[in-house]
Amino acid sequence: MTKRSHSPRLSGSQRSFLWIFGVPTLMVYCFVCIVPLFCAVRDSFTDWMGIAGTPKTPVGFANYLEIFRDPVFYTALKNDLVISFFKLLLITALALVFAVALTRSSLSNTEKKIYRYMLYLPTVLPIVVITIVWKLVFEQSGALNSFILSLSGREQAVMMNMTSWIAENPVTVISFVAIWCGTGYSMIVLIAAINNIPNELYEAATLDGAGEWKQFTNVTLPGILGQVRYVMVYIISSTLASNLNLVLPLTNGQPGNTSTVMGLYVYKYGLTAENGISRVGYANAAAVILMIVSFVLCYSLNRMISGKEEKR
Amino acid sequence: MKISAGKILLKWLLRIFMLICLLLVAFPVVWLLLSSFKNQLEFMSDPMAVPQVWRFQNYVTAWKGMNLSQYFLNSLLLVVGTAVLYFVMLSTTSYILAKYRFRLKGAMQMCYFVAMMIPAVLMLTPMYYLFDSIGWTDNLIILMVIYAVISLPASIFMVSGFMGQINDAFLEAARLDGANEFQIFSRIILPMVKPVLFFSVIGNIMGTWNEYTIALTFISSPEKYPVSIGLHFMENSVGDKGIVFAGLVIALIPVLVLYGLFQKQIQEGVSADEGVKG
Repeated sequence: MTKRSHSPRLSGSQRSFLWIFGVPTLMVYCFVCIVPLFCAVRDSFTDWMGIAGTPKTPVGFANYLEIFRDPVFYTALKNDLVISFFKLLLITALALVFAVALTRSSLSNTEKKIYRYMLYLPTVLPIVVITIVWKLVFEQSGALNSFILSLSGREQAVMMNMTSWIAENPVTVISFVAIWCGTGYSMIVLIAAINNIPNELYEAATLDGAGEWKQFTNVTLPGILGQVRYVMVYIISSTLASNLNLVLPLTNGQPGNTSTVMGLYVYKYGLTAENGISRVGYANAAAVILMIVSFVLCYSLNRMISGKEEKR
Repeated sequence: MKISAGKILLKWLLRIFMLICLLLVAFPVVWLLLSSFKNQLEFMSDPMAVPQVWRFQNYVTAWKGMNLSQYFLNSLLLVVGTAVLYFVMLSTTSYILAKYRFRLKGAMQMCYFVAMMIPAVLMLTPMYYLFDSIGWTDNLIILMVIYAVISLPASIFMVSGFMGQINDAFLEAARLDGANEFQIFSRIILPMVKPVLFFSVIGNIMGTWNEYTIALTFISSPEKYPVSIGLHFMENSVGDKGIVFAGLVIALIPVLVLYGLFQKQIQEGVSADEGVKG
């Protein structure tokens, strides 16, 4: 109550601004982003097929129980974990190396500029272009195999006997492409962080006789620890959505669901029809699980990072 | 002596490593460009070779024969519509969150916060059937609204963070001079946060142009396909990979132009974004 009486009332002109812009935006936003969350919960307890007007028969927790018994769901969970783990490890490491190389290394300024331009480029390319190109690289008759053949000097006919990288190691290929297009963002964040470290710290370290490695461990790394943590949190909290966006065009879960991820699991049941039927109720139950996982993941990570910030 | 030898070695190792990474990034783009001038036979016989004949015809075929011109136009429409909506929604709501104090503001913030934790793409199934129940699918205008709205949470807190830093004295002075909220917003607030808004809108434009999953779900008539969906189906149906590659290059041009022009602003924006959040 006291809080409310402290806050000054909005003037008439402020109120109309709020009603003309703020409220409609919020309403549209809630319709698109919030209402579906409730729809998902409601429909997850039914066997609805997604045809408007057909009845939704309540089935209790049957959908949830079925999901937890479905081995494909665990494959999806495992793939999400594996891809995220590779992303976390390699994107952080690569971004760190790139950021140091593009700020405090002996590369010339022109080189740094070119690298900075090129290494960020994958971040802005359309996902369709990225996936089609890498698919054509890792296919059985793809560019990688033909490159290997041309190195060994054998005839193209041997190609039939070669591995199809994307079919045999889909999760590795997915992780590779995810890292390929995910590193640029983290690199830029870390470059900015390193540039914010006061130069005097490096000068002092040099006076103390610290070599480049010592400078890295004693000045650079402690100076950007907060941003490294941010980058890692960012990778993990965006991973569920970005895995879906990547896997759908790249492998679509193939071969035989081995490369599916949780987002795609929901997508396949809800939005594609096998035998002309989508199991929307079932998909919604999976979506609710995904919603909880995503919320807990993002929320706890965000809490962790802001808690640490306050302590600093 | 020993240390400096190690140093030089390390320096060269770093150079070689960076060069390999550069090639890995550049290769797909260059390969795409070269392959877009080949025909299927040439592509199959040696995917890595430089084309013997430069077939510009591939571009004409992709653009006219494969309907890419239509998809391009759809995407352009989508991008412009989304960007305008997004700009208006983002800037006004950020201003309200930054400078207004009212009873339900906490609830409003909470709404935007929740969706930041649950990306819209993951909720595509319930979202689709919600829109389907009122017949709002397969419609580019609806897709614009969805695109504009789902990218709000990620940037709203950043922009309102910047607006919050603007000194209230400016606004009070303007109010005393008789300016109303709309004038304050457009003449004081907007010019002061131009860089961060610019960065957000550029990001939104590229994101809309590149988006795939939601468009695939919501758009079903071929004449409404945006470029990304058109290319996806083109890749599945067209046997001649040269033409597909030409299509991909055409789809790349707008992002490459934008990135080339605004690389600096985009990269500075990324670090500013992190500065507020982190």
